[in-house]
Amino acid sequence: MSRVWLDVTSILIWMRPAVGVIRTEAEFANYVISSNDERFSFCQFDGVSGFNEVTRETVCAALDRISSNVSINTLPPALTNLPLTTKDKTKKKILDLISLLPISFQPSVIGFILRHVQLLKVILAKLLKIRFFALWLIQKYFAKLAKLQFETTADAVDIPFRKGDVYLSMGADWNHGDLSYLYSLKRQIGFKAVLFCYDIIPIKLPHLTLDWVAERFVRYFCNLAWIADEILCISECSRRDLDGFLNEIGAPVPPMSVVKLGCQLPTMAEITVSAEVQQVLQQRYVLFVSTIERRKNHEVLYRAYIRLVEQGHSNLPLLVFVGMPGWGVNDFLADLNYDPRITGCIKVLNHIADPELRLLYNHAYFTVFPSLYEGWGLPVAESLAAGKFCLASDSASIPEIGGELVEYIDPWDINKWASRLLWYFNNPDEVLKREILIKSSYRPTTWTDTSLEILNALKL
Amino acid sequence: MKPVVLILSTYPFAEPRHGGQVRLANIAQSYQKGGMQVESIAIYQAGGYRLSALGKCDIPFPTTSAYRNYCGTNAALISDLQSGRYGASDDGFKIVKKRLPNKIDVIHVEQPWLWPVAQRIIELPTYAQTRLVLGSQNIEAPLKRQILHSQDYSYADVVSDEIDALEKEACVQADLVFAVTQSDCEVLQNWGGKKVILAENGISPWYADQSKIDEWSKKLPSTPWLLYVASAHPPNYQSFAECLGNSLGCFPPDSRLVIAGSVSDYIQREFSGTRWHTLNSSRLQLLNVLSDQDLAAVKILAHGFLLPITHGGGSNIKTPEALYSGAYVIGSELAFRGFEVYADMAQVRVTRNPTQFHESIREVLAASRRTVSADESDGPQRASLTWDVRLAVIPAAVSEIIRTTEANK
Repeated sequence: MSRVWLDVTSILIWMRPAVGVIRTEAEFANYVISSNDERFSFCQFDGVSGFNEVTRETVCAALDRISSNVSINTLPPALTNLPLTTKDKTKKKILDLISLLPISFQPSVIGFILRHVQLLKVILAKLLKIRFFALWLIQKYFAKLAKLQFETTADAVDIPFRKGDVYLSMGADWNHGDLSYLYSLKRQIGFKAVLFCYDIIPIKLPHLTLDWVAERFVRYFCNLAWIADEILCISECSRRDLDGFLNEIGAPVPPMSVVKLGCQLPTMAEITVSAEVQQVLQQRYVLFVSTIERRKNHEVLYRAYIRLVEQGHSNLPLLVFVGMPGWGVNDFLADLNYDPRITGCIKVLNHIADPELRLLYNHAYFTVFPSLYEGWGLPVAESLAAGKFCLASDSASIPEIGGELVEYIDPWDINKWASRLLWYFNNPDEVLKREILIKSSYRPTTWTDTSLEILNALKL
Repeated sequence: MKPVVLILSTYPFAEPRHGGQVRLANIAQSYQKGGMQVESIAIYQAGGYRLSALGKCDIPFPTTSAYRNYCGTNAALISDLQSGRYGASDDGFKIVKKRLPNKIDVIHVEQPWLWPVAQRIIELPTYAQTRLVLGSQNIEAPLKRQILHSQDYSYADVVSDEIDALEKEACVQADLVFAVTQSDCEVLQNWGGKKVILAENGISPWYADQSKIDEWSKKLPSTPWLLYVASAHPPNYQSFAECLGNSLGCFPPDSRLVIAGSVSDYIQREFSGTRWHTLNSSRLQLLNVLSDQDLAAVKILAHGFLLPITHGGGSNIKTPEALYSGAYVIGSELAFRGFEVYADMAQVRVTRNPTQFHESIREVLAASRRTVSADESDGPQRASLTWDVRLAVIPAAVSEIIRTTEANK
């Protein structure tokens, strides 16, 4: 009997609170296990032995870890609003690395570092001196590994897939996979492959990502097109973008369908709310949930707020940015900290666990989402699911989410953002009317809906 | 006594590598097969060839020669034109004169560059009865203009006009002109060529040892791949990437576009300037210049040949090779100039834009490998591509003008 192999590499590796890709893989794996669907098996890829079968117990353990929503505050909350020094950055990197270790090991590792800090400094200095040699060795190792992967054949190792099986992946394969290898396996064995496209933003807007990310995505999506018998896209916009890109580079264009992602935040019986979040909840605030990076366009809100302040408007609601600072925003974060015009107007919260996020949505005056480009725009869906009105960018996939329930603004138009924010600040009845409409007409996509759509696309 | 043909060229042809040398080597053979004695003088780029590649009478064109100056500058990409100036100058001609055979029935000038040298030879009383033949490889002036303009040389138009005048003069003065395509024939006839004959490019059948084939099959992809073989002649790489939409995404992850010949580095440079350069690098395999044995093995292993030619005159010398292979051939319309009658063969895909190139490449790479015996019906058509068949017209036409000359004595 043919089997469906769900690649769970990403959730097995992931050690931080779930992001969109991880949530999708985890939720579908959870659905398969909960529904006890015997047609499904699980597999994991590693660079040395290729694909291996993974037991349901292993997958369940990973799902438990992800749903427990472990969040390690690597820096005291006060520091999240300050630009980091080199020393702080190094400290943060070390703590990030420690957070990848099993929780039970972490205290003893930190204790060891504190006891031997001087010795470690000397070792670090020596290591830096030989960093080029070390880098060379690492490069040699990976080159050898890549060669091994390319040359590995289905005959050489025990691959669990058989002819007629279906391979399904919705993980971060651009980081954890090797599609050239998967392609050669597929040619040899003859299984069917169903793969995911979240977005092609690094290709479409490479200036908003690191160089190497864009390059990696070009090759990744080209190879994906050669492998996939079907590609599941998370929005019409992503489908359109991918179709255009594949046509441009001359790759084959496999059948594509759209699968909407769920927008439910996990519930937990007991919620621990930090003092910082408690403080926010006591005020009137506008919420923007997103990693802080240039593409998300926090800057337009900052400028709109400045405009309102300079026009003499006071008692503006607190603007709350929930998300991790990403690449290329150091200057922007410094502006937030040092611009006296917006002191007390904007608050950045990092490392917010899902239950706290749910609370923040529920108590928000309304939400904003001025992103320059999206493959989907989950925070808009989350806002609507929480019954909250959202003032959003009109670009890319965002209008697909809420239709007329959301008000759209050109993400570059600062004046428009300033005027519409002010209008809603001064018209709470309108915000309430919008909320009533949302609560009566918006049907949130559940993760079960998403799983059923994926199953439907597999045509089992 | 055998009639004597003196071949004048700007390159030697004892060890042919690029298209022009290959054609000329086969022309020389065709004269010999037609019962004529062949002598040759090449005024070649000093330092450009190893000793074994040179003929006994060949003359180097020194790199420091004053004849390399053009309008006061040491001009690039026109050494062919300057070779003719040097050869016809008093300095150069005194060397040429010493190397002339006692008797010359016909001077075959391959391309117009050394036409001024031929003119000086027939001014000598000994060679007053010698007849002149122009071997055209393409219409040179427009091609040179295109190449020089692409490099932004200030002298592009002045030089091209001079070449145009030289070419027309050679065409009118020649007793016989050989052209490589029908369209070139028409141009040369319109210029006033007395007798213009079509002598198309062809191929020499290739063979490779099984050991070589085994060796190369280990180095090349095990899945179907395509081959492009060319020299570093600018039309062979200019716009190559553009022709393929700047992307090799039409090649599967385990396939490659294999490049052989001195064009390899130029193709890599072409693709490195594209937006999708990392993807493109992952689909390229560069072999550079190979020995005849190695190249034969690579050609035998190719699933198909790619001919994305958008520039250049005459006909592409690699086109008949690709057609003769029996493997798939995917090429631009221009690549089939002079070979239009072969465009309907089952293995040929003529494309007009990047999208058609991509589609054809995907289709061909997914198709089963063709073997020569798989479709015997095109056997005679393929056999007609050999140099022997295509150049047989040359000794016949030259014998005719020799007979006419002797009859008029």
